[in-house]
Amino acid sequence: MIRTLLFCLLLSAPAFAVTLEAPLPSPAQEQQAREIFTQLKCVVCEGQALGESDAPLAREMRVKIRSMVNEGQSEPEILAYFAKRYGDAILLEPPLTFATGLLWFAPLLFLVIGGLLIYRHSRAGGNLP
Amino acid sequence: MMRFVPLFIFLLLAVALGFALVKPESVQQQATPYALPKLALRPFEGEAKFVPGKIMLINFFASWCAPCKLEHIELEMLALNKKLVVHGIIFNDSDENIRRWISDYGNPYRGLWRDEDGSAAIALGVRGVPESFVIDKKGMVRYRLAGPITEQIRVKTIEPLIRTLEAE
Repeated sequence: MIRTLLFCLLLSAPAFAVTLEAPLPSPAQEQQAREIFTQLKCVVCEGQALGESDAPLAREMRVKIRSMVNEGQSEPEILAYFAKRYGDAILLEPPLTFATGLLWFAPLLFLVIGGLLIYRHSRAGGNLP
Repeated sequence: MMRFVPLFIFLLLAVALGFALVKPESVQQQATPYALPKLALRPFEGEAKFVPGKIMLINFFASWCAPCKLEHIELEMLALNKKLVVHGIIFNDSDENIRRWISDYGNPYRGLWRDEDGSAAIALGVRGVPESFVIDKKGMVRYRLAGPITEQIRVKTIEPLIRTLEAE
């Protein structure tokens, strides 16, 4: 009996990490809000999406987003609101601009450079280590 | 020569990422002026209004914030400046902790406010505490500081800015 109870307690441990927030009454609006959460970063906890963060400011942002969705604001409007205040860095997918071009194309560039180096090395008859 | 290309790329990345890792203690911005947005705040103590026509410094702080303790003395120095009104906005903290903070360290704020739902912090793009904004007599945000106000920042940036804004 005690083992069963302890096992149930162990299973419930992740539930302690859940922050209860009131969802929007409309499931469609709540879904829209959650989609926006996945497109913004937590400004407090580096590397976390807004929807995953338990930081107080992140919770307040989610409340704000739900409020804006409830008021009928569109996803681009809401994303623009936060980008205006926190910069494009808050967006998990920053817009393609001159400043962010390197960010977008650097992986492809490195792939191409690496491929060229390998090609030249193989043409020269060398062996890869 | 080509064999040095990977090393060169590595060094370039190391330098670029190294700069990104070494963040300054405070990040200052004297960006294009923008109107102070309407802030939904609850008065906590002191002057319960933003007086138009006065230069203001709005400071987001919390009792649990160590850098806020460091900058407190600088806020007290700024509060002595008759040309400036300093307002404090409590960031994610309890009434009891703030009362204890004021009792322990003093109160440099003409007005102390609660940002109940974080909407003021979000409206201003606040990421954490301390963060301060200088607002001119026309209600335009003229300076923003993410991080503590140091003596150097107060003397070399904020006080000269106040003199400039007073002369406008």
